[in-house]
Formats: sequence, structure tokens, C-alpha cells
Amino acid sequence: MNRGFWAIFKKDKLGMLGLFIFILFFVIAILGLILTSGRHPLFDPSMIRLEEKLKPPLSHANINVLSPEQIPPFGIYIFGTDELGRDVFSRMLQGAWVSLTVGFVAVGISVAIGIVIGGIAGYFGHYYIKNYHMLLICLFSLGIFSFVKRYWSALFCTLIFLLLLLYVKTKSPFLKKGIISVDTLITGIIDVMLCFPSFFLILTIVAFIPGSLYSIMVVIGLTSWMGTARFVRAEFLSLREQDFVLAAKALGVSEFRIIFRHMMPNAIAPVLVSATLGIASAILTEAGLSFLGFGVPPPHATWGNILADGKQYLFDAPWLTFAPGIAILVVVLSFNLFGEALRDALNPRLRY
Amino acid sequence: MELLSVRDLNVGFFIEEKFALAVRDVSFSVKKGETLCIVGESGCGKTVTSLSILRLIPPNGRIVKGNIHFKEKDLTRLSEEQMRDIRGKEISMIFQEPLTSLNPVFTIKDQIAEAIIVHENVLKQEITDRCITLLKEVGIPEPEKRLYDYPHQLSGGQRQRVMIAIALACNPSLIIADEPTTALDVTVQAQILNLFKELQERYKISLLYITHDLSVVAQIADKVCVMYSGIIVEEGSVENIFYRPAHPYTRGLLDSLPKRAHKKQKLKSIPGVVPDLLSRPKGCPFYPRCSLTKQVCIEKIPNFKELEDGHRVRCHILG
Repeated sequence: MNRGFWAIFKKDKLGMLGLFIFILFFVIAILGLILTSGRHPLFDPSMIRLEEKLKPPLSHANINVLSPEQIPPFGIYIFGTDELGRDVFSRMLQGAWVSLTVGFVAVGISVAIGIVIGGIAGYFGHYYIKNYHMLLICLFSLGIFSFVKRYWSALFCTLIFLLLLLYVKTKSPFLKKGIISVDTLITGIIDVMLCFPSFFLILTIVAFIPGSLYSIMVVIGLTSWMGTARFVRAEFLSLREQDFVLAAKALGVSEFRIIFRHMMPNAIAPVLVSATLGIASAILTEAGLSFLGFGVPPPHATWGNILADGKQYLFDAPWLTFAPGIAILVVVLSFNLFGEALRDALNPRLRY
Repeated sequence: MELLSVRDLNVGFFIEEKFALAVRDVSFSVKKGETLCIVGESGCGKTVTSLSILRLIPPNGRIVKGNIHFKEKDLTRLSEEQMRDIRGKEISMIFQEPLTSLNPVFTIKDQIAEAIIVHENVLKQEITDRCITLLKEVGIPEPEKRLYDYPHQLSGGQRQRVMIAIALACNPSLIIADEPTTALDVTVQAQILNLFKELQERYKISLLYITHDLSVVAQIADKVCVMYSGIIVEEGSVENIFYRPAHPYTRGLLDSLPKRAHKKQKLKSIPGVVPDLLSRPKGCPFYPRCSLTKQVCIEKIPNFKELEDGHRVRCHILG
């Protein structure tokens, strides 16, 4: 990073706290991944002990009724047990990795899509989509549809193609005429995407594709890029008119380099901040999906499905909901604090 | 031997579905090591002229006619890639507002290095050395320290010096300076102008200097073009323009300079404003503000009349 970035970041106590907590959780998640996997893991998240149902946190395991491999490490249920006698601490450990990676992968996907789409809308937005582009798109999709044997769609494409061609015959300058600008098209798509209640969109998609850890990450990523795209578009619209972009052009810098080396660092600060907030909301979305039973499939624990299972015993065994709930709260909060500190530290005007 | 020669340049813009010429039949040339000043009020096409030399006019603008010869190449015919090789390396440009022309998130070193990286293959250490020499060259004290400053940490004059260092980075043969001292105060302006002169003598760089300030012209120019409403109304050497101005517009500009000797007098000005791009008069563009207007001025644009060697004027009445 740039000189002085760390010096400013260090001064923000809350941001440092957020970073520290986050690193702590990350280490725990990696440890959890190691400790809960394999044939005979140290912390076995799926070991069922029907004799030891709903034990409160920090209670000792009853060694007399359990077989040797059923005894939890140190003989203590740190976070208690659930309705099947599974150790909640082990399940939390297993779920930590899922929750954290869901945040990162989903936000990584959404930021990547958002930057590209927003960047195109902001920088190339004034270009028009010409009618011959539309003809090419028609031909292209015609090819694809006939390749995958969707003949009705292929027929539809041919129809539009012929209609456009007919129109071309009547008016000669038609081909060169623009229909809509790139910006209008992209902002239109963004608005349409935003109109869907995204949680229900995710629910619908997850209902159709097999629910695995990675498909959930991808689906969350694919349905949450609109905010980033809008951010980047707005930033690029104002940056494009700045003198330093013209100055860079006058230096002979290529368009690609202008976008990624000169404009992106100016636009990246708000994007990074919204990304850290996005990680928090992706963790919440995953927890919500698991809570509703649409998330990662059952034997695997996530914070969301521990929460969901625990809700029936809210009054008898509150630790089942408190443990994952507090973990989610702390991670999300630490990320928000980290994001805000990042925003301040990335502002070059505050540097010295 | 002419380094840059612009012939019959016409540049137009699409404004509200109409096409209007912002620059009409502009011709001038710059020799090696020479300074040409383009003078005129705001909105008379100075900046458009300079941007069209580098082919950087906004997307709604077109070079309609004319050619720009630079070192036996016609810049209007080159491809975008060939143009990119010329920008910054052969011709570099300095802009009016140094704060906004520098990228706020990069250090001074990064910005100077950018010019070198884009055009040359050099090692990292060499780049740092060259940045330091360039900063010394443009008179920035303690260049080793300043190298890692951000633009907002420098003063206005220092920023413009950094801009000049960036422009010099690849040893260009022509520098286009678009009102480089307008945002600076008078003492800093004098320093920057001296710097320009020094560098020009040392490296034999040609300078195309665009300004609205006649006092700057007197200090720096070899030749002067006076532009009004997209056309060059008078051109000649500095002596000709200052001592024997022929066009009523040039005379008006000279008269409206504040003079120390006549303190009590009211400052003179030219009545009226520069005509709007879309509603220009058919004839001589200056006739609505001219005191000598006759019927012929309203009807057609005057052609150049040669007065002395190199002194030409576009006026029906005078000259």
C-alpha cells in the first residue's frame, strides 16, 4: 500500500480493534477447518450423543454413559450441546469457515462484476449501441439457441432479425443510428436488478440449483453487485471529466491504463468501504438462508443453521441461539469498524 | 525549418443537434526553439486549437478540415496508437489548473515516472534518478524529499513546476502550454515564465503558449497570433503586435491593459461580448463590437492582408 496508510490506520483504535477481531476469527476459522475435518477429528461436529441432549455451556460430560470416542475434548461442552447432543462449540468451529468464506467469495464476485459494469457505464457510457450491434446480437443468440436446441427462442431471434433487416431496407442511415446509449442500458439493467427483492431472488435461484457451499456464494455474489456498480459508475462519471484524465491522455497513456491505473485508485476507496459492509451483509444473508433451510445442506454446520435449529429451544436452551448470534454480531461489527477505518486511511488528503 | 505547421484548421462541435465551427481556417507555424503565443478572450477557440493538435478534443468535436504537420507527419491522419506515441514524447501539454491536472492519489514521483514508463523502458532506480534531476531542473528545493509528497501538499507554483517537469520528462520538441500561469499570482507567474525561457534556451524546445494575458505575451513570445471567435484576426512578431497593432480588436486589447502611468483614468474595455458559438455573425465576427464597422464588414469575412514581413491582418478597413 501507499506510504502513510498504515500510520493513519494505526491511529484509529476502533478500526484496529475490528481488524484484530477479524484476524482472530480468521485464525479460529482456519483452525476449525483443521480440527473438525478428517475421520476422527478432535472436535467432531456431527457426533450424536442422545444421552447428553441440551446441556448448558461449560457443563461436564457424563463419562459413565459415553463411549470413549464420544467424549468431547477436555470433557467439557464449552458452548453446551444441541437437541441431538452434538457439541455446539465444534459446530461453531466448523461453521466459522463457511461464514467467513461466504463473505469473501460472494463480495469478491460482486465487487468484480460491479467494477467492470460500473466502469463501462461510467467511462464508455456516452457511446451508443448502434443498430448493427443489435443485428449482430440477434445473429449470435440465434446461433446459441439453435446450438442448444431451443428452437422457439431461435425462431424469435430470427423474427427480430428479419424485422430489423426490413427496417434497414426502408431507411438507409438506419444502421449507423444509435438506439440507446450504453449508460442507459446498464443503469436500466441495474434498476431492474434492484427491483427484485434480492433475498427472495436468491431463495428462488437456490430452489432450482443444488444447494452447496459454493453455489450459495456465487448466487449471493451474482445478486449483490448493483450497489458497487452504481458507486463505480457515479465515481467514473465525475472522474472522467477531471483534468488529470485529460492530462494523462495528453501524456500518451492508453485508455486501459487510464481506467485502471489513473481512475480506479480514485474510485476504489468508497468501493472498498462498501465491500467491507457487503461482507457483513453476505454473512447475514448466508445465515438467513441457512436459517430458512435453503443454505448449505444439513450435516455440515453453519452459523445460520445452528441458529435455525436452536430457535425451537429458545427458552429451554438459549445458548443454541446466543452462540452463533453473538458470533455473527461480533464479526459483522468488526468488519464495519474495519471498513470505516479503511475509508479514512485511504483518503490521501488526511495523510502526512 | 518549421517544427509544427497548422494549415486551414477547422474544428467543429455538435451542440444540441447542430454543428458549429469553433475554429475556422486557422493557420500558423512554430519553428524550432521559437515561442508562439495565441492570445484571445475566453471562448475564442484557443484551447480547442491546442487540443486538436494533440487530437484530444471532446467526443462531440471533429476536425473537419485542414492538416497539422509535425516533423513531416500529418497528425490528422495518424492512427490512435501512433498519436499516443507522439503525445507526451514529442509534444507535451501543460494545463491551466495544476491542482486538478495532477492525480490526487499519486505521489509526485509516481506522476513524473508515469510519463517515462509509458514511453520508455527504463529501470526503477534510473526512474528515481531522472525524477530527481527533473525536479531540480524546474527549481523545486529538496527534490529528494518532495518526491514522495502528494499534490495537495505543494503550493500552486510548485505544482505547476511539477507539471512542467512531467512535460519535460521525455524531452519533447514542442510544449503546448494552455494558460499555465492563470491560476498563479503575479510573482509566481514571473518565476514560471523565467523557468520556461531558461528551459527553452537550454533544450531548444518550441513553445506554443496560450494565454489571454498580454503582459505575459510581452515577456515570452517571439510571434503572436490574436484569435477572435475562432479565427486568427492578426498575426505577427511581438514588436509588430505591440507597437504597430493593425486590427481594431488587437488595439482594443492593448488599450484595455491597466497602465501605471495613468492612475486616474478609468480602465478602458471593449464593449460587448464574444459572440456565442451558435449565433455568430455572418461577416467579420468582430463587427458588432467594432467602432469602424461598414457595410462590407457585415457581409463577408475579411481575408488576410500582408502588411510587412510576417505581419498579417484580417480587416476590411484597416491595414
